[in-house]
Amino acid sequence: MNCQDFHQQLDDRLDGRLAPPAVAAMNRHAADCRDCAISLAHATALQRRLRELPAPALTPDFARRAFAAAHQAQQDTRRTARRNALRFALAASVAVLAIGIAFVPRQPSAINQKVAAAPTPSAQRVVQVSSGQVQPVRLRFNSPQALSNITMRVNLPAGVELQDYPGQRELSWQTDLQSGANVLELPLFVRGNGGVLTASLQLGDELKQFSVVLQTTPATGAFRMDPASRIAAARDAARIDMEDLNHA
Amino acid sequence: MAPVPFQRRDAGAPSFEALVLPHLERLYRLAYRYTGTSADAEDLVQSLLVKLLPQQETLTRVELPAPWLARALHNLYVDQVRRRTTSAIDLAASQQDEEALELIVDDKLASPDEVAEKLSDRDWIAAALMRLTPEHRALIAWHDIEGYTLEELAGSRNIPLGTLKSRLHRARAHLRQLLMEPSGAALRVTG
Repeated sequence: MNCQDFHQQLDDRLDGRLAPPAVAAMNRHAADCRDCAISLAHATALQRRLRELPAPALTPDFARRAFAAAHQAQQDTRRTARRNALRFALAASVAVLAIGIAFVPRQPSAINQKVAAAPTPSAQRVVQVSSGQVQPVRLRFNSPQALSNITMRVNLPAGVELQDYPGQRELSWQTDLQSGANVLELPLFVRGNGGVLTASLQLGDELKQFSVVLQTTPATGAFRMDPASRIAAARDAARIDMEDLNHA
Repeated sequence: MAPVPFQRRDAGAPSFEALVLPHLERLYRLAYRYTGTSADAEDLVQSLLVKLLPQQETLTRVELPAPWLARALHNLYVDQVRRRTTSAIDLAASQQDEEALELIVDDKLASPDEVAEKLSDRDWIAAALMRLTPEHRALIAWHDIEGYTLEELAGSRNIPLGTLKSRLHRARAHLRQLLMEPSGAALRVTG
């Protein structure tokens, strides 16, 4: 073994990865080579010293503060995500306050199509929801123009919760509306018999309020349906459009 | 009114605190080795908790949480360091490091007695560690100070074990070279 071999194997020796014969060979070389013997001694001593390096103890309340901050950060993230999802729009006619609104059941095949039909009284403000599960109710507002700093407020009936906001009956936030369609998706969890959900848009002193009747359906239907179809049907039934009908 | 999110957790599943708290002291110690100050170590661990909380379910399924958490801390630290630099840090190809070594080699070497004196000075060793590049310091902290294995680190970033061994070899060589500096050279040569 020469000095180069010795230094190449030094790390493996420090880590205990060297086979006994190789260790013995290094020892024989170190016995005849003062420089390598010193290198081995220094490396071994340094390794031992590194393991002995002190570190300060945690401050007593760090764990409490750290976990609390983590939960707060997660809560903030969820709230931001939820509000981003809720950035939609209110439509319309908030600015002119002449706007009417219609709720038209949406057909599965027309999900991405604008509903242009005039609302019928029986279709207005009623959406079928199933109790005991989270399902999205989508409200679409058409605005004739972009609007900034709209205050959106949603009031939920008893027994209806917005996912991630348990027990909260009223939520409000600031948002902007874009010109055209603005969609607000509300993931609702209905526990009881439904009720009336109200959504209001406020721009300065002007206020426009809409209401939707959440009508629950029995948990078990009279008709037989495979689970996937039942979920899809429930989702479609809960998807409604709120049309801005300027002439309404 | 501040909305309170639902707590969706299986009944009986351990809380995030129950999963992490037993390892917090060791994570903090590792973070301190990396950063060199208590405040920065607390910030690093805090950032780790923020990052891990949404992954609680994953953490629940981890068989060996101690090295898993340490690896997460290591990766977070390396990522933070890399984000603070204009280019990726890789000591294996660090020209700055090679230049530092050359400067040291050119100096008159310390005598064995001087080296022995430095080895008995914990503050000197701690200061020398802080003169290493962040990735070299992190590797030595991971393996030589806190005793985690290179195998425990290799898988998480798809780094071959041989590459890690080479990097650790260079990190150790750099630290030993710093030991060989004659007294007074430390202020002149920076790594």
